[in-house]
Amino acid sequence: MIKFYRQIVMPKKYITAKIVKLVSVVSICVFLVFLNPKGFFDPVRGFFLQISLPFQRIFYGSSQRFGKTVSFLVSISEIRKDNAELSRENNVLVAQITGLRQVENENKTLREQLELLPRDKFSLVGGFVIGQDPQGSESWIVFDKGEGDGISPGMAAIVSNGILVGKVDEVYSASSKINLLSGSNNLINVVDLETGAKGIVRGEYGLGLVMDMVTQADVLNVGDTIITSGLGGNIPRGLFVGKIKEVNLSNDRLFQKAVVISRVKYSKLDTVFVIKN
Amino acid sequence: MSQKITIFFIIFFSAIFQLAVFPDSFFWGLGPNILLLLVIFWVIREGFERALFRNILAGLVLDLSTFYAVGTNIASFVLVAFLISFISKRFLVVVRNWRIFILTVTIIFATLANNLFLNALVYVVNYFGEAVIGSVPVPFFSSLLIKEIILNVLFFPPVYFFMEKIERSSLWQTRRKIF
Repeated sequence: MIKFYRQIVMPKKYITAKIVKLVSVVSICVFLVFLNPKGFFDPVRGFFLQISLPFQRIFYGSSQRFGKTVSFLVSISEIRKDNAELSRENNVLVAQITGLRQVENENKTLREQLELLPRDKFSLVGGFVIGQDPQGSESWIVFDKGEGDGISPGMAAIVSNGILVGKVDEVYSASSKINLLSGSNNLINVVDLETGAKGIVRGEYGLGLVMDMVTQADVLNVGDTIITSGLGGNIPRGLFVGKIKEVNLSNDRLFQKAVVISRVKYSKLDTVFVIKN
Repeated sequence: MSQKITIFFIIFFSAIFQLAVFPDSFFWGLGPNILLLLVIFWVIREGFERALFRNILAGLVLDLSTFYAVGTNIASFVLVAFLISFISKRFLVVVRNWRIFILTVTIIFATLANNLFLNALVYVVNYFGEAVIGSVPVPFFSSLLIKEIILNVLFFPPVYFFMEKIERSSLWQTRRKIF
């Protein structure tokens, strides 16, 4: 058969051992790619991630410390100036605390009215980031907690006091992959806190976060706060996503589209919490 | 055997560095594609066929560590390796005075080709099958690709000298200089 192919279909000089190897390997690879959705390689990947986990922890932690030391050394001349400014700010903040205590009570009442889960009632699993998308597109991170800690796909990942950063995508025995909001393959249902306009937030290259699929009848204003709507999936309502920076029409001019600025720098994440309930 | 073990560790730790160290160490939030640079190094030194197993291993480790569907980076690396061997045979040997320039062009070409193959593969697979790609490559006309090219060009000399040092310390049989 090969002889026939070599003699009739293609002249001899074009079918070298090199080309045969290339075509065989690429064909096998394409076949393997189609086997992926069946979870064929999940145990292999799980095993690999388990082996690499301690190394990733060490290297990621070291690079974070190194980065912080460098930025500290670079900014050492500004520390004195910052200190004076912070002292001034401290005096102002002490005065503001009194006012905020009153706001806290109002906030509690509002949360009850909006049926939001109090932030301290979330069952959280805290852990460290041990790796991230090497292509610089801030689309995913590796979290050092997995199946053994009760993590499952679809759970929300937050930082500090309720700022949503992403959603758990793949879970392995000791680690998991979290798709960040800034990645293009993550869609989250959101709502404008001020106007009630509903839409979907996704990441877009070069723009950060984009709130899309907002009907023309809804109102979006620059500076509005965007929170999760709680519709679909395991993401609770009321998690902070970001603030609107600009409002445009979508390319087909059927919907409104807003650029949303997050308060989180996704490439600098080191600690993340996953909401279990 | 010691050579094979050394190669495995080089590939393994390069992948860990790419995943855990580089994204946080550079201003742009991305680092050089060390595994691609290793593929370029091995193909130029050893040729396509002799470096085939190493390229497959590099692709497999990258697929597993960066959540790509297994097979994606392997196919891309093997195709890139084939193209590099084609270029290196015709130009690097013949045009001796322009080697550094040709090598730089090769790295730029390899980075572009790798990105193009990844994007094409993701597109084809998503078109015909279910959404199987766990990670999405950087779009071909993205500024991130230009940054990756710059980093790859800058990092190839350190990778080259590091690998050459390792080859000298181990019992490598073939030793051909690029520069």
